[in-house]
Amino acid sequence: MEATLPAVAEELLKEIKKAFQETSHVPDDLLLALKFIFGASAVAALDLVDQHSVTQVVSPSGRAVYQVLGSSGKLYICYTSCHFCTCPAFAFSVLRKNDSLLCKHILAVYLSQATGTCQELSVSDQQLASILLAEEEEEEERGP
Amino acid sequence: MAEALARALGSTEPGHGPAPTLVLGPARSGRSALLFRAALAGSRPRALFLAPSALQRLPGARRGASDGRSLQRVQFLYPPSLQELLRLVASLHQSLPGPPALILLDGLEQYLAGCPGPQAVAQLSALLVDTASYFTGRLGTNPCGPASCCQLITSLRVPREAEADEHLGVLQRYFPARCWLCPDSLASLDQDDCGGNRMFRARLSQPGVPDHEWRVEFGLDGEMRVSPLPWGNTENPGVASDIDRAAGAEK
Repeated sequence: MEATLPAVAEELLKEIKKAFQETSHVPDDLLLALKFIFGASAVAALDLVDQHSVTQVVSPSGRAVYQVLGSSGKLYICYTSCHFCTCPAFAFSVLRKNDSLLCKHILAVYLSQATGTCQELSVSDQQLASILLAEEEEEEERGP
Repeated sequence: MAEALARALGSTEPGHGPAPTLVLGPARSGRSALLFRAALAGSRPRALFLAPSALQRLPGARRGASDGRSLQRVQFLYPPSLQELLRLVASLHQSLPGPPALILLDGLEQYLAGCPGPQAVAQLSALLVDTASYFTGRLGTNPCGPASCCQLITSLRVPREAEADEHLGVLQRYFPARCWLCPDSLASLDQDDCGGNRMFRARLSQPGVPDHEWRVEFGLDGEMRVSPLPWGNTENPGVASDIDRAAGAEK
């Protein structure tokens, strides 16, 4: 993602990426730091990454968007270049109350990028336009 | 974005980067004219101008004046509702023949009227930013080139209702640069087209960059004229307090 995170969060994600590339796992001290910065979202986001719930959807135009399969089975949409998620927690905790940096789905996108565990899916340009508006989600409940 | 707007106002100073920019001002403060000026400024290959309804005449131009060659670089699209706007922006990657260097959205307040909540405001803002970012990737990788990125500028009539404060709080997440248009005198807001020149101050603020200020004047012929003001100019303290009030409303 190109969106701006606080420097400490960006540094931590870089450390996680480096550690994962070298050892294929994330050391405890970095996990603790993740929980310190992102609170309860950290554990939930790690669960989503473990379950390979993050998919980068790309169309022939090169436009991309992330789909994250939530723990309830609902599919949420996260944009690639700025912080936005269609989940209720983003609307409430991030936008309305302004007491969270991110929701667990956006953090899962960051972590799946850092650990190289992001799934990939190719769709048509028309399908991608629908996904950008989360229209797929309303029309049908999709599986992973 | 801020660089495109600063250039439209005549600035040659470096500093304003490609941050998405929100132009804010009261009714009849020349928001459309400023966006239109940005569309025609420089030698950008293509600009996309979005608005809820068709323009009756070229804003900020002399009555009867038209610059056909410059206008050919601007593509006008008029989605009439928020839903139509979202669908149009989400499909620009398949509908435009080439990447625009500038996306302008005029009349954001009309799309946000009756908006169900902050998430809808955030989705529209994020979709615009994401779309500009996608076109930036298409335009090339040269960070110094004249059209190296697709910039985004949108205009919003300064809201008065309490609910609008919530909208502004969400908008400033996605539009870090803001240009406030404030009347240079209270009479400016009351002048009709035949009553005399209307004068405004435009102040461009962007994190990490010193603020810049310009005087914007609309003559009897409808033409927009811009002149730079030295920062810190206090010849009319009433203007500063107007700006401060507007900035306070944003919080």
